Amino acid sequence: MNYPESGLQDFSATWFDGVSAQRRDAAVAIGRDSVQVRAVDRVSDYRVDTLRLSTPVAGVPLRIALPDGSTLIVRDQDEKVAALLGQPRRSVAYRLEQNLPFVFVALILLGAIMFFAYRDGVPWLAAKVATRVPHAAEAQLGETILKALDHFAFEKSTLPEEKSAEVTDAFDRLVAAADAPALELHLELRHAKSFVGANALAIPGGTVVVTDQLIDEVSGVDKVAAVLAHEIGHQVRRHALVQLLQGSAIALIFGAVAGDISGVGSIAAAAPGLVLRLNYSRNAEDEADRFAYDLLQKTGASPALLGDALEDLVRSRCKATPADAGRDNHDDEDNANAEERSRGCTGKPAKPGTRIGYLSTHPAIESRIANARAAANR
Amino acid sequence: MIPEPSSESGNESVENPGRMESPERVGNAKQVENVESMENPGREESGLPTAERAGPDFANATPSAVAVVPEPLPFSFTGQATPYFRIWIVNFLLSVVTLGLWSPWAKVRKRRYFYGHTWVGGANFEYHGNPVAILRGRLIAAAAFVVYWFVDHLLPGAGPALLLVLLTAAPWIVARSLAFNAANSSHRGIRFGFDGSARAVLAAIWPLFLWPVVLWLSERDPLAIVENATAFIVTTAGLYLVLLCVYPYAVARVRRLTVSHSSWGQTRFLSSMRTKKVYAIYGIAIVLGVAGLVAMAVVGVAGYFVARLVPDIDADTIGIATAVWAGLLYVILVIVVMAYTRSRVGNLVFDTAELADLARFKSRVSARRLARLYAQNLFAIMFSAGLLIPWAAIRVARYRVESLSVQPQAALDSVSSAVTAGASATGEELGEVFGFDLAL
Repeated sequence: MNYPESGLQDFSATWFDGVSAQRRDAAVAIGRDSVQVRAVDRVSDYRVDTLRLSTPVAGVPLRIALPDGSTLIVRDQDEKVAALLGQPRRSVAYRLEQNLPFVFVALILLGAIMFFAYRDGVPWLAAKVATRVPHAAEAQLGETILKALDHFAFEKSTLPEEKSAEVTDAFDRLVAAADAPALELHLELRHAKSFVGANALAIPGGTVVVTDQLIDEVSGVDKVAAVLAHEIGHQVRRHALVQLLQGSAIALIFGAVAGDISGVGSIAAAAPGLVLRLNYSRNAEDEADRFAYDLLQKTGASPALLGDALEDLVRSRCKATPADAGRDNHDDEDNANAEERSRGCTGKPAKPGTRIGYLSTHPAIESRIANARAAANR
Repeated sequence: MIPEPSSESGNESVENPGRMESPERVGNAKQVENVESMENPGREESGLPTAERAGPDFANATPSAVAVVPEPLPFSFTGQATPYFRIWIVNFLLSVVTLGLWSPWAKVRKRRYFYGHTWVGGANFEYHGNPVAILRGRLIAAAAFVVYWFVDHLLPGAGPALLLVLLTAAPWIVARSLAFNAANSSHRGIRFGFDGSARAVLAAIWPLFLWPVVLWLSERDPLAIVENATAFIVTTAGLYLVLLCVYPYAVARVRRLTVSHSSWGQTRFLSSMRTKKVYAIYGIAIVLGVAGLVAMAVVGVAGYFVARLVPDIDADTIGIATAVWAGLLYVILVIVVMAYTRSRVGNLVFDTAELADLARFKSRVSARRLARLYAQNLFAIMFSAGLLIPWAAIRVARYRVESLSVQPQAALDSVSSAVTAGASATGEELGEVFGFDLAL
């Protein structure tokens, strides 16, 4: 067991033969195009070009797979060893990971990508996908929701015949102006149970529900039409589906980020995801309002009517018992009502544009009123 | 090139460094010892299937190993937050800019980091998963998910049926996933293996098929609750109760299956886990859960009475305060129950596992410490906007790995030479088609 001829460089390694789990300490001598691996009880020669080196991962020893199924583990100076073997460790991922400036760039880039994906990317993609889903696909979902609501929240409408005919006519005029032939828009009138109160909803599939209470509290069919225009906005923009898609996308993104940490990590990821989702529903309200301004103008009405309608609702709510809360809602969550109610009734309305930001399901009602009037003056 | 008859040479040669005249080698051997004595062991939190977690090691590395009575060998974890952060963030960026196509490579790199930094007996673990195989598996899973999403959201009632369809594929997917992960993991140059069939997996997880039935009943007819509330509540509650009763059974069988169908080379793992021990763990978990729910209810009721009885107080403020406290209690409840069940079940799995006649395992994860770790991680992650995720992952892995040790049943020389490579398929062959990779 004499050493290979002088002039060869050598390094030490741990040698596993791949046959049993026993470990050998080995000295490896590198020749021109062969290497010799020597342990106490065995010596093997290999051609250099038959060696397969593992791609580097920070702090993990270099692993050299030898053609006979055995492996060498090199814990010291693995970079140098790899270079000596003529296979410098060129992994793009490894180099980027080891490059500190790039790590900072990655951090900033990721932050930017996440921000724009959230603000623009996800809504854009969700809208694209939603508009490609046939309306009929939502119909069954809508039917189920309406059936459930009829049991829980609604009773038959008790509106006088002529009043309901008026509202229905107004709705039909809006539908004609909206020019959305693919969408089967139709109106359902209901008397709400007391815990629902004045409300209007856009149900997936094209149904708009408005409650008798809303029609009573909002003085004049023109203003009711403004509220209906807002709901038609939810329908045309496919907000129910869009929000489902956005919610799932956010959940997926957070799931992917938190994928590393099981269990509790997923709670940490879910909470901000929920908050971010609420902001999307606020955007949907704004969008439906803007749609309503345009639609009202098309029918020759003023966008200010939507502001007036909202004001009527705030006023009547202040008079009513708190239990009578409820306003405009395109699906079955209306968490922001309580907060809006108290704000609208305190006598000191919130400053324009004041929102509790990401926590509000709906935009502050004052700003919605103001926006509607501003739209009328344009 | 012809392998000579093998003999354990490791430690002897350390003691005879002159023989090879290689000073680096001596240094190297010392380093091995350091790693062992400094750290204790751990493994990536749930990234490692139980099979491999259960499966490990030996060694002739420490000088004491030569002694007749073998000492238990602690596992150690050498991963650190900073280097792992670099891997995490760079691969995350690459995954995002490639719209997810890089994610299998990211997965493999991260896994190689955790495995490669898990040591026992002077040798680390290695992960060999082929990212291309994982990508194929993921593309299939993504397609199935998209179909499921649309059906579930747009056709109420059809979701559970589809879930049932997907579930029929589950045993096969689980078996493939366990086999893929095991076959792509190695220690001391010997691969792990898993030979449980889809049929065996089905025999273990069948009680979980009650879940879609429960979903079916509660989702299919949303009006049932209105039309016949009592019957609906009784049926649903009954089904959940049944589910709760069979869940520990399924957990016990799955864990036993993963251990007893796993092998390291040709040496099989055995499990003597008793199902009733798992029931005992979940029994206490249920008590903890109920206590937590009672606490939440107390907060709710208290909030209600404060709002009713104190006239000058704003009902909304009370409502928000009540919701915040109840939410906090809920988070604590989840953390405690999760930490408790994971630590106890994990310990039980290892303590009842054996590498046939060669070694036994000991896991000492404390529920209290794990809960504290989870809580700290939760806050750290939330307040760092997710940037401390790598730090949290490393901390949990270190704790879990370093709570683990292996007790060789014979002199290490004989143990490690008794473990020989399996003659059957290697990871490469198995993993070539689809790399399903579930965290179980």
